[in-house]
Amino acid sequence: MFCLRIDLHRRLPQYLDGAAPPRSVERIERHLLDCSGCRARLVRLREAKRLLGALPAADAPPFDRLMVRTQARHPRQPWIVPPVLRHFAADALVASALFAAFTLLYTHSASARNRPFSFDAASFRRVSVTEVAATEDPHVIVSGVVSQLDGDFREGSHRFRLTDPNDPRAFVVCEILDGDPLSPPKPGSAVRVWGVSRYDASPNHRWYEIHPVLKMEVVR
Amino acid sequence: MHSVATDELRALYEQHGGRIYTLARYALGSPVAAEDAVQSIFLKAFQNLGRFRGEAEKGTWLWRIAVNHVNDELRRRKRAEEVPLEAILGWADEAQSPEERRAVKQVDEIVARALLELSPKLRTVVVLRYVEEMPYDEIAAVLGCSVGTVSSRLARALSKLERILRPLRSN
Repeated sequence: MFCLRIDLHRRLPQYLDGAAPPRSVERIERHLLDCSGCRARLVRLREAKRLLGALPAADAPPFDRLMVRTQARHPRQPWIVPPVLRHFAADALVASALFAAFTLLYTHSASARNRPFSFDAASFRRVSVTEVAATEDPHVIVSGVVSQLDGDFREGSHRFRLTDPNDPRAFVVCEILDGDPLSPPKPGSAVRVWGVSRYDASPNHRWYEIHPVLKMEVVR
Repeated sequence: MHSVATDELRALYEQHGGRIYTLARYALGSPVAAEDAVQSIFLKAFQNLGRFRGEAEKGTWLWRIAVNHVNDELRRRKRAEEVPLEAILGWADEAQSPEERRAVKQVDEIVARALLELSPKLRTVVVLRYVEEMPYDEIAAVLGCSVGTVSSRLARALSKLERILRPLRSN
């Protein structure tokens, strides 16, 4: 039976919980005598309530664990500094931070420009192009024949394909980063490349890469 | 961190932490999300303790922070389907036999999952009333609405849950 007594429907949870005001109880009970739809509705609500009431309480984490995590996110309490000092302190802090950042940036870029390129060759493992897929070493030395990589050139950096001389189907993509003094090799030349191996899982790539190329020697 | 404020916060946590965690657990559907939520809730409470000194309503104030945080989190997520099913495992009563425990756990899982089908507004009110067993007037104070609105939301929530959970009906 379809019932339009929305004013009573909304009170049914309170009625079920014994929390309805006496006047509502009286109206609901009088209506229930005549309305089979609302009697069925009440049964359904009671059933849902029963299932919900059986849900157990969850075990909260101990307070100390919560505070440890909170401290990790917010490691220090705010300082109490008088407003006048705070005003000057903020200016001084900004000026010092700018000075430090500028000095650091300048010295770092200058030293980077002047520093001869060197790295520990012992940490690089010699692998064939085919073995790049299987190696777990990030630092590898790979030899192969250079060919041009069609399409998808990221602006600034230079990519080329390095093919296994023994298996022309096997290749890795090598990337020389933008600003690196290394010159891109000529297609057809054979080179030896030092770099970091990784898998590029982006949808139109899905290939193994030497990214970035750190050092390169032309073999022929 | 040890101070009067921390002691006060600890007392609040001991009084309400478990129930607030339960709300977050059922409303958000995963223990990790619930723990993050409880942490954020108590952090907010800690940051605002100094401004709040009305002892009698401190519980309501804290619950309001909790409900608002949970609702914000749910709105941010948009889709309850992101919650993994395994996130709601492990709720059984230890006193039961393994078979009974399994059966109860299954029902609890289904019910907990059904809760995630409700809108944030309906979900929080249902957890507050039927899991936390909070009285109507307290829920109304926490949500900032009338008792009639609480009852009305419960009616909608129960109807929807009953439709979802109909296969579990005992008769």
